[in-house]
Amino acid sequence: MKVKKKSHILIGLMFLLTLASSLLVPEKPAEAAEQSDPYIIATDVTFAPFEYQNEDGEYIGIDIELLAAIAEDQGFEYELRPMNFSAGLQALEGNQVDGMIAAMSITPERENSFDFSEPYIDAGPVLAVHEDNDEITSYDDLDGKTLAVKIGTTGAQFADELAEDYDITINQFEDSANMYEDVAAGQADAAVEDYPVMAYAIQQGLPLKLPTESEEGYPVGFAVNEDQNQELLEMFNAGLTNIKENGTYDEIMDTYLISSENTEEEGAEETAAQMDPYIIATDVTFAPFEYQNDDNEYIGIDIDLLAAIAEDQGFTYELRPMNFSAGLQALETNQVDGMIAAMSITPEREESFDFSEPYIDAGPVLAVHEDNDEITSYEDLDGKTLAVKVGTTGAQFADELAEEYDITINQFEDSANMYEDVAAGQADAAVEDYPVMAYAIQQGLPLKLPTQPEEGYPIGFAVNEGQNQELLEMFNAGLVNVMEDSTYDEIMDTYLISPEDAEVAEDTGIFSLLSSNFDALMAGLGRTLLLTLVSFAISLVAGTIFGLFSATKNRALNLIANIYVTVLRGIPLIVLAFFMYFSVPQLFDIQLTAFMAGIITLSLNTTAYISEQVRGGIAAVPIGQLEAARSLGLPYRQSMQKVVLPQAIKIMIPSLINQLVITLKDTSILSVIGIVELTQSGRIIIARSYQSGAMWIIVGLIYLIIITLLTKLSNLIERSLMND
Amino acid sequence: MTKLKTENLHKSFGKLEVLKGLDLEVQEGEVVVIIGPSGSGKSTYLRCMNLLEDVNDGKVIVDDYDLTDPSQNINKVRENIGMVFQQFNLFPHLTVMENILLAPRKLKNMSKSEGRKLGMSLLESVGMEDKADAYPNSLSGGQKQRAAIARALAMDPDILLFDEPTSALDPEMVGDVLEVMQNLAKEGMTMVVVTHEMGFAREVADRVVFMDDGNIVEIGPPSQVFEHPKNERTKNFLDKIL
Repeated sequence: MKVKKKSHILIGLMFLLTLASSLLVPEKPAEAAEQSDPYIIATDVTFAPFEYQNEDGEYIGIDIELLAAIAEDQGFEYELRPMNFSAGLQALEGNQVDGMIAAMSITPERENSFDFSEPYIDAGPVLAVHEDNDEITSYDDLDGKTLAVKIGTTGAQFADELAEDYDITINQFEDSANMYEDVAAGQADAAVEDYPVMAYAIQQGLPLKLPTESEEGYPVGFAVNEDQNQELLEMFNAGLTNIKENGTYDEIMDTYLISSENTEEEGAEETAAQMDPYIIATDVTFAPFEYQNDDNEYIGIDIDLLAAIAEDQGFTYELRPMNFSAGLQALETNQVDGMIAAMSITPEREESFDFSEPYIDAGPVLAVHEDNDEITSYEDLDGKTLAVKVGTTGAQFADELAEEYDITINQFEDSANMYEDVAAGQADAAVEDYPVMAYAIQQGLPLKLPTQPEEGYPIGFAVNEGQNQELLEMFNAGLVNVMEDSTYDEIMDTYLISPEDAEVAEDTGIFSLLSSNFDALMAGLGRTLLLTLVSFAISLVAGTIFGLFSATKNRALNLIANIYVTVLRGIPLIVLAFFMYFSVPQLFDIQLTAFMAGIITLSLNTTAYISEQVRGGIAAVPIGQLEAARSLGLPYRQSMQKVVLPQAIKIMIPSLINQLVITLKDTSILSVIGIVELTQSGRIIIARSYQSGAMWIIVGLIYLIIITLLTKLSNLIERSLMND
Repeated sequence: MTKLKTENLHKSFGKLEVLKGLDLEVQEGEVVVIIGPSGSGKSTYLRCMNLLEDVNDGKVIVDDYDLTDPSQNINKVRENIGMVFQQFNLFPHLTVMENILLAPRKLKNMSKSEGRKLGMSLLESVGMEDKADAYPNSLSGGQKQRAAIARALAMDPDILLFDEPTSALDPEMVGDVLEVMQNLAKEGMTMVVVTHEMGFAREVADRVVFMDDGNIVEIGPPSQVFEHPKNERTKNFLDKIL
């Protein structure tokens, strides 16, 4: 037996070693052309299908092949430099690289710093359904269906927008793969994702198809630093035209993407039904301008301002929340009469639309900790640390400041972390668009604004060029009126904290955050407890059975128990959850709700641990107990039931309580398959309130309280059992 | 009439053979005491008699039932063979009365009142009637062993096996337990007793079996084995302990 065990270990070790060595195979350096003056081109490390490494460690992808084809066409040499996306942006700005091709969206902010080529692809969201699904061929068919989305993407916004029009259930995921699987496994009827990413995934064998054309989104282009390497940019554009003409472009796209099957026209935008009320497009979620409150009503600066102006001017309107870029299209095609969506008045947009007078300015502003009286001007930043969000105008402004002063810059991928960096004292100040920052402070962030905001793009209300001029005039007139009476100030005070106002709105502490989200948190807690208790009850029964299996002298039963425990203990809970929710429905052609899959996952996992505890508990009961029972003529089963198990359970109670606590905490892992338990509830509330600091304290405390109560209760039960 | 018989009984633990072909016949109403040095296999032998230990070879026959026959319902036969252990093995989560009545209630579907009556009479016979509802942990060693004897009697067996019943007891408790065993012998119970209590063996045993190294070395009435041992090993053993 011992020899056998050793050989198992040996085989396992060899497997691990092989795995490790295969991972350690050195990447092939992409320095093919080491000639006189190759252009250094930055690209992202991994962003399929644009750039990623194949099994041989070579970089491939749309960007890579496109660049190769264009370079060949134009006869220039280049050297690829894969790096983190934001590092690439910096390298480009600092002229450390000559160009960058990295699925880079051509945003107005980026156009300030870089010169872009003609766009080579568009990254708008697209609908995907299971390949066998012939039921959904347009957005109208989504009524009553379930949509899978990835949190925080334009796809998710677009899904929200669709949910306004149709009765749609939305499953939210943290990453794309899970979202795809949700549809592949039949849990959701369709998914929404950026077109190239989705098309690539399908091309890779995902059993989905695209029933509709993709929506318009930000175009993607090749970039050089502003006014640098213009000859490279020209060559890129010329090459792009050439490879589009000679078919190379299509070949590349065909290699990585699958095209929409069905070329029916886009069906999302319904035509304005009525003539009387003005149809006004707005964004789905962009706090503090427009977002849904706890009652799912739209509120925000734009919403309130429009309401006030409409009341002042006596016109009626109907709000149409939609994805920002979809709104622009709808406005351009006269499907809506106007649009109010924190819309920056950029020169490009002024060519297509007529704007009202600006009603707010979105320039970057400095924010410091509320207790910080040291920094009152930009000069005070000398020797200090600034937190910025990568790729924002705030980040650009910080770079500008860094040229003048000795400033260290901490870069963050999202606003919440940037705020927390300052709130926690890691950075001395943050730079962010004024309305967004002011709103976050108003929501309880312990920062204040020591300076006035910088000038940025002003924000206005828009109508299509030459259309609805009477609406525009009414808006302007109404804006003047609400600015004259105090309505405008009231609205701004509601959503923003002004730079002069150093005090933080006090009613947004932990308790108000808790009370305003109490129902959502309790619903999450309810699901957490339900998952825990149901799974634990199942596991108690199943674990006892497996524990008894391993305690018998029957070799076959021993083996079954042993295999079960080995397999289930050897698989991380998160992997098991994915397997249950995604693989099982595909492999066995059954439907499992996320909640069911969660309960099965947790039960399987907990059963393995409880069965070991049962085995240990039984082993801890002196063998004489079983012998005494058997010597009386009691059969094995009854002897176990009446004599051994009651004693084993007493021995097991402390470890069972421990297991209950672990199982309860493990439920948080099930958020990955879209179960809105306590942790996921917290995450959703943070996405709305920006208060990650306070929220995680609340969520942590709720777990702590519940687990403490459960432990106390269990201890009481234990004591009463011990008193026998 | 032969009540219990072993034929050519072999038992090994792994490669170590501890019983090397033992033959013994115990008559109805007979008290057989097995003595011998520690490690001689006497406890293992006793535990083979109700098949608590599997037998490698040979037969155990009780009332014409072959226990080593795999088709034999061992549980049924065990009801007829009570066993008393060195460590008592009372069930700590049950009261004395519940310990006694567990088997009769489960196996004979005895009613509660009927069981209580039986339990009280058994406890009376071992002088423990006042401890019926006590938990084992509150009893002294001697009380525990008397309660264990009452439990062994609950299924009304014809044979009782005693595995060093007094070895774990304080000296002042030994007498009470031996007295109970002596009473059982007087009432005609067939008993096989592994013990170091030579006084008990001499006084109560019908036959004494001396075991050494997995063999039955000598067997006979106590007067013969104790006064005129034939075998050198028996002599040596008795010299050491008497």
